Amino acid sequence: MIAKFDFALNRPEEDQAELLAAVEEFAAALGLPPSVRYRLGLVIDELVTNCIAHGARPGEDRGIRVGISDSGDDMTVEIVDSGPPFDPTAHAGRKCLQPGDVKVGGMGLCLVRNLATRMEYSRSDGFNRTRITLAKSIQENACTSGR
Amino acid sequence: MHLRQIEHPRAAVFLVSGRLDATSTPELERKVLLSLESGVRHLVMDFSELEYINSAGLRVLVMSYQRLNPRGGSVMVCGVRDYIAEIFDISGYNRIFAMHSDMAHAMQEIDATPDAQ
Repeated sequence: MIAKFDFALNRPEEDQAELLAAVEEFAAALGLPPSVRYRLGLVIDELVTNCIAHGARPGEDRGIRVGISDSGDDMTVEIVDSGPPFDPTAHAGRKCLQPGDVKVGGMGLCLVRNLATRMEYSRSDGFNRTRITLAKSIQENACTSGR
Repeated sequence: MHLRQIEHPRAAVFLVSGRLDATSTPELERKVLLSLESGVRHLVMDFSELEYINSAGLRVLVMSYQRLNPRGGSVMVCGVRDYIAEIFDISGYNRIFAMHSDMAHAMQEIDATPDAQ
């Protein structure tokens, strides 16, 4: 059985905390381990924050819809928003920080990129659609390589 | 988020519990950056009771690093839970901040390091 989650943010700034609580509840009900629950919430938090930051101007339609599908080995997150075109895959930055190259900007999307096994973007019918795949079995390596 | 600050002559020391997100981070940012203005060389963050941190919380650590690194100081992160430590490791923050198992180890390192003049 594929578990699904769907949440609409009509007023994103006000609804974001309620969304994250609902995601946590969904992840807990699935029995996901703490690391996957945290990553799922973090990826959604960062992408929704990004939608809000780059979203529609006041007075325009600012709706954001968040969907999650649990397909067994993977979790798929889809964020659909009605803001101006914005491709997060083009702004996700480098994989690992370097001590001499520490920047404050772009940290959220960089985290998403580091956690996602796949990150896709499309624009259709006036909506941004960002799809993230998260693996449930965590196998990535820490950044221990030289500069 | 619950925040507690501990007085120390050479470091700004904070114990942070709960969630560090967009809602709670402004308070932390204000207090941390204010404490760094006193000229301390180190920031010690006890995260043993921290349940969640996002990029807004991490940004406070990076901003602190940018202020302390030129002084020869450091940002020390203590007792972080495994699932959060993984994020530091994957994203390379473990190479920028000094990761300690607990606050006692961080304080030992500060005590063993003479102040540069």
